[in-house]
Amino acid sequence: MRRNDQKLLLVIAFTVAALAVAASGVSFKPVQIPLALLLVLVLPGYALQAAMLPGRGTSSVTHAVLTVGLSLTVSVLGGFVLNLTSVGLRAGSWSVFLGAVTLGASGVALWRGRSSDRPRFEWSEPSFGARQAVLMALATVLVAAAFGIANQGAARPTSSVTELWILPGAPPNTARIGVISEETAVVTYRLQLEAGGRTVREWPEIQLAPGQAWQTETAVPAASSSGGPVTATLYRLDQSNQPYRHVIWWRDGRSG
Amino acid sequence: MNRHDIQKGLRLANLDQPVSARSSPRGSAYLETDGDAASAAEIRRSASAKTWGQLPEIAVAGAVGLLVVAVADTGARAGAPWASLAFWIGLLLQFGPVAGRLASARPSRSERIGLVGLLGLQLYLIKVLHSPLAFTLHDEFSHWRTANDIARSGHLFSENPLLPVSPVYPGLENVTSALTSLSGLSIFAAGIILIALARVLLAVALYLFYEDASGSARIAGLATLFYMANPSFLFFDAQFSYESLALPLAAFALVAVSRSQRGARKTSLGLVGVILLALGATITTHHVTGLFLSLFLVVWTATAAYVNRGKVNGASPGWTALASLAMVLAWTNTVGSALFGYLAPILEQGPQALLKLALGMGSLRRPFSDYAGQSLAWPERVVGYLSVVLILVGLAVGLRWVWRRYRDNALALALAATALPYPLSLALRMTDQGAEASSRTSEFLFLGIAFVLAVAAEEYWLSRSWNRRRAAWFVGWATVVFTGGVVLGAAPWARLPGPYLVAADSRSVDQQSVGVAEWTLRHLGPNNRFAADRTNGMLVGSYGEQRLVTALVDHVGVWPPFFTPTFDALDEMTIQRGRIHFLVIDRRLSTGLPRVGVYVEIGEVDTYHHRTPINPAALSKFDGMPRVSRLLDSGDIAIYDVEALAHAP
Repeated sequence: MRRNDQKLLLVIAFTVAALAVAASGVSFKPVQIPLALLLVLVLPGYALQAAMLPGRGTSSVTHAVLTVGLSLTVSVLGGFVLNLTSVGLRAGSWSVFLGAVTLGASGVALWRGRSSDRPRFEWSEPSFGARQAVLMALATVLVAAAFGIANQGAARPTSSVTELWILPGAPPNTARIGVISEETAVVTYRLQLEAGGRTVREWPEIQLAPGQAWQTETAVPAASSSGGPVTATLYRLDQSNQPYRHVIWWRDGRSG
Repeated sequence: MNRHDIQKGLRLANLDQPVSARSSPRGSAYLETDGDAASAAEIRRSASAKTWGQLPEIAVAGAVGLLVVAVADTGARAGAPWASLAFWIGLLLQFGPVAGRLASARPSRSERIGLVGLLGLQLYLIKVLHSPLAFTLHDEFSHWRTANDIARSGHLFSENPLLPVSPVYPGLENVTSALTSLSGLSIFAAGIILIALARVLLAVALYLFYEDASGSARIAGLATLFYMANPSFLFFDAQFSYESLALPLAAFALVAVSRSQRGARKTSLGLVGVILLALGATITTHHVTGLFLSLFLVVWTATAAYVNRGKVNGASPGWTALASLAMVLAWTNTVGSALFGYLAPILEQGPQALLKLALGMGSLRRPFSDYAGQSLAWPERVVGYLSVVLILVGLAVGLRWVWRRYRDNALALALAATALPYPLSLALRMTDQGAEASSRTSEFLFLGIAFVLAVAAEEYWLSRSWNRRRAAWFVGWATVVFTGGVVLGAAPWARLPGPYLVAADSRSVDQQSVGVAEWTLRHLGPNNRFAADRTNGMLVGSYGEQRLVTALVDHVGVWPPFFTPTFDALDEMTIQRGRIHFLVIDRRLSTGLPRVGVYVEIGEVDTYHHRTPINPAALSKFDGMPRVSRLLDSGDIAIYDVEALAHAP
């Protein structure tokens, strides 16, 4: 068996593996992600160029450009094809489409390869020496360190945010009220609900850690009896008695 | 290696043969110059071509540069004053060594290709380090919305109020859909991988294309290097946006077309198929790139007609130009109204503003300053001006050499012609409206500019005896051109992350505004009619999946409620005509001038000419208004339910 045929058989094997993973519905990312990347970004282009340009010697670089370029092209145009189907652009339809293109093109390439005795790809792979490999590994480690630093910096909270919200509840004369804390530390709040100028309910202590949310649904007096809007005011217990957040709900408005 | 070997190899390796001796300025002798090999056959036989030379050392230097940029980003988030300097040091650690090595005659073709691919990828990673956890650049939210709509519905062409033209050019989102649905990756993760691969494809395909045009590995490497100096390269064309994928696809198409022009053999059906696929993918991915690609092929056809005058069977890309134009017309006809509504103002306003300026009726834009009046530091202004001067000088020298060396090379002449409109694009930068159009042309004009600069460098500078002093001068020249591109392409506040700034795109996206957008989807559901400022509008329209009301889509200027100090008839009319249900009000808008020239949208009062921030009273006037609920308060941002006003008698 010729070297080019071996590579095409490898393409077929990876495609079948990717299709099997997609069909099984297995969600094991370390396998799913590399196979998906291959199926979308590499395999269709490799197979297509083997089918469309047999007998043309190409260098590694041209070969790589054709592989990636054609793979991207197949997915760009494949979206329009799948859009015509009732299923649309879903995991199943994508795997069938990309699998069909890759396997079909591989078959054509194998057939055309047998009918021609000319060489197809001349795959020259420049390789690294030991010192060069160490340097490339060092570069990779440095880039990984750069990402570690950047991620850490971006993930660090830059501001203290608390959201207070109010919406009509499902039953009549009820309100849904919520607090979302994105503060940098645990914060204890006091929440006061008023209608018609008088306090109808109070939550004296709501303690939330960063990223935590609190939500409740509570009855409020009928609009006709209280008049005016329902208001909720949030206070931070560690700060002065100044309102921290304030929301207003007019029941003749149309929220929700 | 002797000439016989090369010729034998050329017959074997049709796809990788260099431009023919007839069209090559120096014929096959040019190929025998060390470092100028362009033939796959030659490469296969050359031991030196199989080595990576100093690529690993330069990769380490570039990685150190990235590390410095990452430290700069982290420092900038905390407002460190040294961050900007560190950013420049990191950037130059990447560019300088690659420029120096590419200028040398020593590297093999493999090393040169490795260097341009490496630099393209490393410069892309600068954008990723800027926003490593989520998209933050303006256009990314529009395309996130389109990709998300496809993921939800399984179908194309949903309405996108953020960028109506995005769903009808869904190439980027099609590939993203394939990646996300098959891998389970998020749109962000898939987008980062996709654009990284596209970036490497762009660099390597450009190299091959320039190599076809010049027959020289060194010119190809230098031209690709200079292409990366275009102002859009570092950030604009690194974002998750249709142009970032369309440019690599266009470069791929150009390589395929240039390969079809080689040799005496008739173009195979397979190569015709590759060309048609690449043209189709480019044209359905991005409007301007598709149009530019077609125009370039037309220019190439014209230069081929000039070169082939009197010849019967001269090579010409004529049929590809026709096919490309036909595809552009067909696709534009299909999606027409969305495209013209989006592009027409950009294309019209620039030349109109320039004409007004020429007639003494317009105002001059303040160069090197943003719309909030912040000017660049003087060293950056000097580099910015100097880079323009050096490009102009390089073009003057290079065009002369292109004519001397390549007058029988249709592709080289077409590239030179593409560089000619550069001075006009500079003139457009003198007006506010023209600056937008000008910045959108650089990535296309640089296809030709980069080639001409590389020819100038090679012929005027590098082909003479090589020494360290000469090398240092070249690296200095190239570095000024590159840094000038960065200066022109991104304002200082846009290059690094940092504390919140008013109407400053990536610098206005923060935890609070993202949290509010996500709240709208979670608690109000999707597709409610919202009006918001530029940044919060992008966020509620993407992460919030809301229906943003905009002048572009709804033909209603939604800005009045954000500007009038008291609620008046104009506000009421705006809310009613726009059928606005919810308003997002960000009180921080009153704390500064808009860095991008507008608070809400182009067309608002004082667009590009704000002199004072929004009156705080304008942003608090809805508090206490009867029947206007204030549903959410996050400190700076509030969401108001104004539907009662929309239905007022």
